[in-house]
Amino acid sequence: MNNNVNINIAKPLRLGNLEFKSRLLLGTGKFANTELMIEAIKASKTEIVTIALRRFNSNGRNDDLYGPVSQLPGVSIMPNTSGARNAEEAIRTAQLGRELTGSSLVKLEIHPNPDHLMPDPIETYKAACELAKDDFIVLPYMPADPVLAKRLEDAGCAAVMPLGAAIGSGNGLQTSNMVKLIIRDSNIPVIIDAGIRAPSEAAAAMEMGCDAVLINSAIAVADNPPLMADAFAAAVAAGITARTAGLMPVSNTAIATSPLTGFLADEK
Amino acid sequence: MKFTLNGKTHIHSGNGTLSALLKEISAENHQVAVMINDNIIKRNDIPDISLKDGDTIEVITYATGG
Repeated sequence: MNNNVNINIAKPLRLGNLEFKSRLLLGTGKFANTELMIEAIKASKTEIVTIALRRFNSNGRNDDLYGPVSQLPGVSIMPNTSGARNAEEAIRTAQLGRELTGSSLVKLEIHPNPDHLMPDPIETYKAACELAKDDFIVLPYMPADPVLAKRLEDAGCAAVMPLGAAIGSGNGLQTSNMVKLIIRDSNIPVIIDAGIRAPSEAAAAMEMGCDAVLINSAIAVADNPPLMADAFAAAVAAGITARTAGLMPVSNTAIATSPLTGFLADEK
Repeated sequence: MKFTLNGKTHIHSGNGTLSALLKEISAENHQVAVMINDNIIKRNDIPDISLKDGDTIEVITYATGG
């Protein structure tokens, strides 16, 4: 084995004017408690975690999030716009998130129907246009639609985040054919957001050409979230390393790996 | 003074500044973002804001989410 081979050649993930070494983004929802969440964030080696915004509860029943998350070194906070039902609400939520966190990153998500949580493409596009003009680093959660992805890129988004399957469903990368079309034409990072259940699916997304994955439920509801976070970190790293190394071509017929001459049974 | 705070009526017994209201509800300035009558307050402006009777105030904080 050539020990001089440098396998650490993946470029940083560039979002707006920011650069990140990690290709794994982590959501903070659904963890059993804050300690597990923090351990999982550390194990994932992520550099971006998402948070939501909600009304302050004067009875003290607020998520214990500000202190633990904001004190993690090397971790940027990306507020999301969950709860917004239209562009106007999403823009307002994004602006509040920026004031709250000081971060210009925003995960733009507008999904008005709680039954399926599918993103509203029209409202998402409207909000993306306004937020990009307002110097946000906009990462829209979107249907896996190559036409919309291009429109969002032209609107000034820093990345597009097509869904793999419904939020929290664990149905995997069901949209891979559409995501491939998005990747082919995109000049901005493509990040799979939602649906991924297994680290192997995250690796497959990276091998396919995705630039990052955003994981929440698959880690948060695992029996051992920090261990699962470690597994996802390894899978994402393996996926992008494999892509960088270059996957072998596919053939519909067998191509022998051993010589086809000189068999013992060959006639002399 | 009487406000609508996060959708509910709130009787304020302090000096009518936003800082006094936040203290009254045990909210630290750095833990919250504030919107008054649909106007988002810049973080650095929070100490300078005086409230008016009848204001509609939203105080927003961090929550877990994906």
